[in-house]
Amino acid sequence: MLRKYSNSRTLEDNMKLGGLTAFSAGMVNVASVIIFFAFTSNVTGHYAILAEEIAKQNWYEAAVVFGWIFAFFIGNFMSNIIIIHSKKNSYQSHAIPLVVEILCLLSVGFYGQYVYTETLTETEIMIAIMLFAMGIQNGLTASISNFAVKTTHLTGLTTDLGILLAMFTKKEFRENEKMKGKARLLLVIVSSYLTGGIFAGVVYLNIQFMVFIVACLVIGLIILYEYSKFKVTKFIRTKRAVNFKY
Amino acid sequence: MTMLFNSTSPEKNLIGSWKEIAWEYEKVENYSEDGIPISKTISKQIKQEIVQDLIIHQAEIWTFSPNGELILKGEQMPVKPLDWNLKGRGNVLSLIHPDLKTEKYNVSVVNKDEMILYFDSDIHARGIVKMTFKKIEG
Repeated sequence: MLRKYSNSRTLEDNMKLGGLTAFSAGMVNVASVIIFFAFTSNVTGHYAILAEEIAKQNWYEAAVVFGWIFAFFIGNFMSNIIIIHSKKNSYQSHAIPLVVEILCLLSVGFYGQYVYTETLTETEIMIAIMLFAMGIQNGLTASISNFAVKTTHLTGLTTDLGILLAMFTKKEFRENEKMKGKARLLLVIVSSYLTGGIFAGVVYLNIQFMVFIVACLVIGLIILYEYSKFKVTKFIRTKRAVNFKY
Repeated sequence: MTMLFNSTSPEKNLIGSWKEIAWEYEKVENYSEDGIPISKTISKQIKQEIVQDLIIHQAEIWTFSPNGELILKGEQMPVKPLDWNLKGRGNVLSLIHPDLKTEKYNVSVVNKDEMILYFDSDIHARGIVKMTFKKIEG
């Protein structure tokens, strides 16, 4: 999932990465809507709100919403800076942004559970941290999958799905393996996002802010899975090299 | 930039005492099923029906303290301390009763002088209720 880059990725790689990251994004978004009354995995709505607040001359609110959009932007920027400039192997350069995302979500989870006094400033900062985390995730998945996987917002995905289904009304497109694979990938992402959201909505009632820790575990699963694959691949390569030498 | 630095957080604006000055239906059909025009202004009787199950029942003066406490005062009601907080970008007001019953109000306007809150009312299936307040102490 994390080791391969752009066109070397298989559909299976993208489906695993898309499914797990969409599940965590759905969890984070629904939990933040329930707790903070703000979306944290997408910014389209925030652009509309920003325009509305500017039109109403509510400068404080406009600045807050601009800060949230900027946090999402910086998350995307940062994850790609790490990927582009890292001199380490692709697994490590792709895992680092996910570790940063986990740290962000952990901080929101623990702060929310043990420290949060429900002031507006705290709420605004925690929303910004989550938007930053979702920006990191989206920037990473989009970049390493050559823009095939975007898991934090579903506007473009729903558009693509509509286009694909319209194309499938023609036999020649229905039989196109690449297009069928793309449709499967989109369906996996949308269903994972929805499942993550429903799961968060249900478990939030019992575990409150700890729902963000569960989202971290899902992201941690990606890192651990890839680490084990990376180690196995490295072991096989070393073994082959040793055999070749002798 | 000057406007930005001079702007105040909705939380700071909210702190102080507010007097209810109007209750209206914001979103309402203009005519009833019988073709009778419907007034947007809410009568005292309808207001009592709407608020009978709400925390804000019979309140006229709302005093928000910086420590997150809200005191509701009315002619025929005892002083009722509640907890309050703002969510989102300050556009959602949550009122929390001691028994943890929570009500949400949409904050449309909150500045130094005026506050406008909205909430959905199912009473008479009439629509969204607009509550206007004037600051009396801040």
